[in-house]
Amino acid sequence: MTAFLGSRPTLLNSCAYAATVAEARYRIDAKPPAPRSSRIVGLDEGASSVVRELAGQPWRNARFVYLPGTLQLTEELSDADFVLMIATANDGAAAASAIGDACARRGIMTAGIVLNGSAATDAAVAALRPHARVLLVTDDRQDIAEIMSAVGA
Amino acid sequence: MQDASLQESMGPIVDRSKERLVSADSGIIKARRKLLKAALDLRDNGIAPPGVDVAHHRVRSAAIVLPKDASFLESCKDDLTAIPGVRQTSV
Repeated sequence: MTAFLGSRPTLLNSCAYAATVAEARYRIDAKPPAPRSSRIVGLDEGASSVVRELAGQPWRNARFVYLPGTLQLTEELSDADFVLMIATANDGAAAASAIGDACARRGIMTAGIVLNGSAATDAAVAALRPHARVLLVTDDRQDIAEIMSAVGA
Repeated sequence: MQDASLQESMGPIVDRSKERLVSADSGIIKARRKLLKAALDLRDNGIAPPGVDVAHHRVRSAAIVLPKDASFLESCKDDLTAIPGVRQTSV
């Protein structure tokens, strides 16, 4: 936008200039080259049952992890671009902490979803919040699939 | 200003297969779903969209610094409701 506006001051209507052909050439007009390698982690039993349902749908490049269970972090994250942690309670707080720390060290994008609808929602939010870069609380399970699709999982 | 320029320069119909969203865009993803659901609910079931009910006009934004392990649902509940005469919560 700066290139087109030159020395013009930035005004409230300046965004109109961004719609011009001259500015549009800066947009990337192509599909993302490859799907992201995603890990979808159910942090507790309730979340894992939701994740199992999701795993039955077709995805481009997603792997699913169910907790409680064995978690081989190094192996799971070796080629991951994106990790989505899903919780319904705070049972998975320790796993969320380990995953969040490991992703932060490797520069892997993280997100958390807390499925609302139980007395443990607040505890789940508190447990997940420090370890996911973005946290969504929702009543709608379909939000998980929408986020996965939107980020190219 | 930057947000407005990007929104308006997208044009009326966008090919979303060319989008490059990231996890930080979950608000956009959720907003789209809510708008679509509201439109379908209105068309198919005659349900009024969110925002028509005056109770929704009392929802307000807030900026709060919380302890790292606090749940914002409980901690911010009171700050997200507009109360006449009470200033908006901000940092």
